[in-house]
Amino acid sequence: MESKILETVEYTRVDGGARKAAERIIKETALTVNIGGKHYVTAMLLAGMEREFIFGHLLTQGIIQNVRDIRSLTIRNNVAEVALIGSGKKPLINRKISSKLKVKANDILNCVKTILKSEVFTETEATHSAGLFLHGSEAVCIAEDLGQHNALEKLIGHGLLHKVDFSQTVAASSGRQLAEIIVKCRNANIPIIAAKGAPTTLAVEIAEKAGVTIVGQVRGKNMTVYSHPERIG
Amino acid sequence: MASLKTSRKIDGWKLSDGRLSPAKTGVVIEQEFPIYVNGKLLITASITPTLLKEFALGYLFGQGFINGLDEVASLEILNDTAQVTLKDKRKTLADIAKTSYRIVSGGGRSAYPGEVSLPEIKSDLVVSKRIIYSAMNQLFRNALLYQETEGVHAAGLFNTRASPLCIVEDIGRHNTLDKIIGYTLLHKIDCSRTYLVSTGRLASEMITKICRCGIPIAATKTAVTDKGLETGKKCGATIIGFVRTIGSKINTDTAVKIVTKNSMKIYCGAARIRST
Repeated sequence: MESKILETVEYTRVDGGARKAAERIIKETALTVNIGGKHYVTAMLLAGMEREFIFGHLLTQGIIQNVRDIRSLTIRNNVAEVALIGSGKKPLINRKISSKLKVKANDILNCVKTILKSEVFTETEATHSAGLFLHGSEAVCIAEDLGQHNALEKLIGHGLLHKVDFSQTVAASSGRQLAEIIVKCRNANIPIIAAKGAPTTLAVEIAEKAGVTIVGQVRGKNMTVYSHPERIG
Repeated sequence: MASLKTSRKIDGWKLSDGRLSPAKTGVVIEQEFPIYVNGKLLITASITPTLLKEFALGYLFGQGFINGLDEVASLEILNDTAQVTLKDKRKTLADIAKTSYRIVSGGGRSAYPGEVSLPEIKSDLVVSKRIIYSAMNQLFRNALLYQETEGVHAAGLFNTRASPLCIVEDIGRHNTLDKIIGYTLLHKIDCSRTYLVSTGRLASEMITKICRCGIPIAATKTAVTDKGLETGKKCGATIIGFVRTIGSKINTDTAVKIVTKNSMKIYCGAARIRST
């Protein structure tokens, strides 16, 4: 059966000598999103969870605040038509995280460990994965994509559609923490982001102000907390 | 003059023996960098603040907004913004009106003009596989910012003697490529005699930029996507993935493997690589 996310290709393997071989590599799918009939964005995605991606993306961009802001969403042949209720673009609220969540350091290690056990990654070494964990222990959703932003937005969309209380969640990611990732967590009111990679200075500055806890370089038994350590007990 | 600092020590907390203890840690600098074309804001990029001119030029060329340096009347860096004036102002404004926005497979939102066609790569360059391994090793030896912060990608452009023409580290793999492209434009480098090595995945937009520049060979430490490969084949480029050199470290899941044998996978254009 043809896979939506993997494609078999031939290549030349070079080590001692050179020989022909075949393997499966990752597929990019272009998803076009129209809002009110007008082109809004075209995203290069790993196929799957398109609906979640759109909800998550529109929330993190401040276009919607909850599911009710979308009148309809249809996806046909990788073209999504979104109809919004009201005028559409709402001003982005520069929110501060409101959450009393506290989680154990050990739970953070486990969250990141859990999302790194991906079959697609093991085969292709080309994807990012992200997970949403209620109270830092119960996996609500795990998503994969070519990009860590897309994987995070799929998670947030899933949470939105399933009425997850984001203030009680930890987002885990295989990637690095750039400023935009922190802004997306803040906009969704996710208090803790834990990742295999490291953050940037701008990401830490934004997290300090917004009240987001950044845990980076989570590997094996190690991690570094870069902001708001009071949430890690 | 823009700051060339690329990292900063910040106060963090490290987990050891189940306890969080205060520890200084090096973090890569990320800075917003708006690019204005003919006085109008085109895009605000997020970059590590080095090679600002190169980045602005390379971005405009790589995305297809300009076809060469000769279309640029002036380029100034003012208060950490790029101010680009093009010779043909009317043409630019029309192009910008047609700008569409895409989320590239890395995840960032980027601007593209309506339609950009890609040229076929004209190069009879043939290199030994040893030269590719050597370039990858040099890239890692020079990746000092990565060693300090673990938060960056690296890319390098090399000549046929495996000497680096330009090595760049940045928070974004696209940014590293844009800076290299800008460097080749400013220094009038004949890209048909060069090859590129990178730490990032070669997805469609990466290969599109490489082909637009006329670089015949691109090699990465990691993976290639189907659309990237499709574009590379169409343009006649050589696309190499999973370049692994003896002694290099590979992060798989949570473990770290040390490579014991040189290897690479050539996905297309294998005739440009000699296996001796």
